Amino acid sequence: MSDVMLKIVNARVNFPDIEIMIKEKVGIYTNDPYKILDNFLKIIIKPKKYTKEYILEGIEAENLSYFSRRIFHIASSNLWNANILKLIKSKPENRKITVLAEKKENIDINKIFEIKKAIKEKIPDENVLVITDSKELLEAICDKVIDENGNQIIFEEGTFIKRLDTMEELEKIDEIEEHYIPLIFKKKELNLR
Amino acid sequence: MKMKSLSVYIISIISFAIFLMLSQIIFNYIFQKEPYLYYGSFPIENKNLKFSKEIPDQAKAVLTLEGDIIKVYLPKNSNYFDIILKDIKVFLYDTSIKLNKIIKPYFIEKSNLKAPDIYNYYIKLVGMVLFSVLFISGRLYTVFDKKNFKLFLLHYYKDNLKRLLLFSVVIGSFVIITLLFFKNMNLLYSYIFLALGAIFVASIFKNVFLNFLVYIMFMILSIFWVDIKYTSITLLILIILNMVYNYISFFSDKTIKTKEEKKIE
Repeated sequence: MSDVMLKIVNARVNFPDIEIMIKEKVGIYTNDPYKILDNFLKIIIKPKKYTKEYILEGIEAENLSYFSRRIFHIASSNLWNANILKLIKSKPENRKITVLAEKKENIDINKIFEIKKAIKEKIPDENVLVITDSKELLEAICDKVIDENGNQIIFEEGTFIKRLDTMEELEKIDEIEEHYIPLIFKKKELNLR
Repeated sequence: MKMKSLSVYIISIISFAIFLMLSQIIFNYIFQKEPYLYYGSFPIENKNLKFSKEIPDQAKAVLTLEGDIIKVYLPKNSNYFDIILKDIKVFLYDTSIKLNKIIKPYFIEKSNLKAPDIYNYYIKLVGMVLFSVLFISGRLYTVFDKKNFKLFLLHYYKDNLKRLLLFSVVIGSFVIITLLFFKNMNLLYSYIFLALGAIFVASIFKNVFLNFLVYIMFMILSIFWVDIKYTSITLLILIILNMVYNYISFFSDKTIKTKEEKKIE
């Protein structure tokens, strides 16, 4: 068995070619996450109609969609009346690939760390596909990020500090004058132009 | 979100019960003064009894004396038998004493006899309020929108079932409360069917204005259209339309075309 968990090539709807290896956490950066999620749902529900190549767990799964769609857990407030943190925590055991699709405005930036923690605790060895326009969420969760055309977006390594109260980026930690403020500390940052 | 719809539900169920109680009290008070009509000769007089030359086509009840029997004609599907029984007993008692023999009642439902206007208005008012509370809380707990349809396609059956159950409980609770006040609901079923139909149509739209428009349209329809058979068929058609629309709108091929156009560019 190959290590490919999910591979979608040449979708007939607007969706990038994607290849996810086992345990990998991949992100898709897009301005319209819900649209891309809809396209993704179309693909997993009717792979034969919407893709050229569709591989799940190393198997050509174009004709198995009735069973294969149960592998995905879709966590998005567009589908549920709940936030994604709650949806990750309530993930059913048998659904192996978690798909997070959320708009920036529906994600509380203070909760991103909790989302990351929940993923680390509950599904460290499972696949996650993140579809969002939130840079922070992608940085917190993903190993690899592409845009909606399939081009890879590179992570810049370094130390990045961001104030959570004013959302300012800081060069050095000494710049801060107040004695009590919340910060985000990142070791890699998405390079979006 | 959940707390909000729960509080809307609780408030509407309490106010609905209060409305039914008050409206019934007021209706009974007004309805008491509505006279009974008698046809032919009648041995007693009462301020609530009026003579009618012919058999009327609209009355609370029509009485005729035939030998030892008072025939009481009631409009079909009328729901106020319990209310008028007391008055009828008084008439029987008075007649028995006057004629010095035992008079028995005989109740007949007559299909070409119409209930008094006040009764029809009362039923319409209750129907409209029932329609409104069903629509609002049903819309809050709807299971027939795109979101739930997608979840259904993704085989989240357990969650779908839970929501469907919740929806049925919400709708059922209103129906049960109405049943407590109206033992015979024949005149109200069409409002329930049309309210459910309106929920199925409105669930397609996210827009609040469109939802409101659907509400108004179905409300007007429900006032004039009180036919159980046809409204239930309408409901079935709307359920199917809702599913077909959800399916088509999700798998519509618009997105495919735009992609192909892009490639040509």
